[in-house]
Amino acid sequence: MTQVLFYLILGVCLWALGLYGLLRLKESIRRIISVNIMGSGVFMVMVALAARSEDPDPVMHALVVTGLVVAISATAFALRLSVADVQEDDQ
Amino acid sequence: MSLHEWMLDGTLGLLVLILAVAVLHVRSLYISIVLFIAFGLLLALIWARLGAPDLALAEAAIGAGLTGTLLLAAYGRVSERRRKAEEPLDWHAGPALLLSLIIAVILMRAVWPLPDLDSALVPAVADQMAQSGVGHPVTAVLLSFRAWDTLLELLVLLLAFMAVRQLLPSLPRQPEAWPLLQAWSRLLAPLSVLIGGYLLWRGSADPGGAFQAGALLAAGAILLRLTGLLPALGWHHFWIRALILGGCMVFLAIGVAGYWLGTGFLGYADGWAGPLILLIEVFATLSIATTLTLLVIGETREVRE
Amino acid sequence: MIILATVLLLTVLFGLWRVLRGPTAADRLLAIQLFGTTGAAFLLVLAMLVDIRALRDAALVIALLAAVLSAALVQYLRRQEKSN
Repeated sequence: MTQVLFYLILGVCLWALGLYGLLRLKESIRRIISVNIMGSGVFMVMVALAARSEDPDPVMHALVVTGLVVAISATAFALRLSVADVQEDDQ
Repeated sequence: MSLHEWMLDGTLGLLVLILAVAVLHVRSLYISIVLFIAFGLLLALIWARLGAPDLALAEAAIGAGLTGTLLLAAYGRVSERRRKAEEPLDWHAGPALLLSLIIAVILMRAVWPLPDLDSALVPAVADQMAQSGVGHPVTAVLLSFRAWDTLLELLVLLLAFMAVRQLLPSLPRQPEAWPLLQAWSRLLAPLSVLIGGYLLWRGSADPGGAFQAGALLAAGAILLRLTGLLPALGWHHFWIRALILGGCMVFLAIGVAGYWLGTGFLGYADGWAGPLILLIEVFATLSIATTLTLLVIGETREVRE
Repeated sequence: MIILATVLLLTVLFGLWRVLRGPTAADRLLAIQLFGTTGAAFLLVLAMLVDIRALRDAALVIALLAAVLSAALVQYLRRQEKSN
């Protein structure tokens, strides 16, 4: 087993864990966290694949940098939606 | 690989799995968020271990720092009732676990042969590096070879900001910050500007670049806003609008100019690639920083009125 | 050098215990600070090990962001205290 394969499997495990959390948890913020864990699993698979060659694959790295920014945009929107219902009774 | 390296990788892997399980299984939402911040930090270490310093930088700034602040902000807004509500343990555990395991096994079989395959893109990027106008491959991919993706990414960020704006956010009025905290943020904010500028400049030759720099600037601005040292920001300020739209506008303008001059959409003329990429990066950094700041702290209702 | 990095990671394990046990929010905040320090130290050791200079920049970013995060945490926790 190589280092690349180790991290590929770790990424798959994280993705499956995130899926399990998404199916199990009821609280919306925690579901958003679960989706983020799934995303981290995907990133880990991509970074592990980038580490196959002697010089790491810059295309994969660029994709993951892009993915991180898209992930935080989506997370910000989802979190705002999840607290939208409680804003009124704070007033 | 030596035994010691395996020990390091094994510890990293074990820790990240423990953290992921703990994030999902802990009862209190607050502990879950704190653990998730630690999870993001550990991911940054793993990216560093896998030889991806760009990602370690981005994950440290965006993944661990800003996502954590976002989650804390959301946590501060949910009601006491929702916060205390415990996750009921019910019969769903069985089927959910089974489904996750089956999908995990299928995915394992899919990734198993991948380590032996090669990517054709690595030599392709290395071949074209001389024409990209920058010295760092990741920056070259982001802003020269695949500039389209980066432009669309800025648009996604803009779209998320527009969507969040529609929800009429309202924050409970913040308490006055402690003087100690204010002094602390007065110290930290200039540092974040300094390091952000440094990362932006380094991005052309070394790991770093617009996204990492933008996230750091945003962290500084959020800190100042939280401690009340910065006035409430909003879309109605002309300069905020200019900053947010500036990134996309400059990017598009340079792309169209390239089309006009015959180098193709988002193609750079010979010899101009370096300066143009730096120009795009500066405006993109400011745009990303402003958008992220507003995404995290949000426009408050009193600003709107 | 690798052993050093592994030992640094073990401190995260102790921090984790503190996060889970608490008892107060402040304990958890301090554990997060410990994680930030550990992360920066780990990156510095790794930077020497694999000779990638940019990892030192990443350590700098982690150190700064951990400080920002703790300030944000303090401010949000105070708001919560006030509303209770």
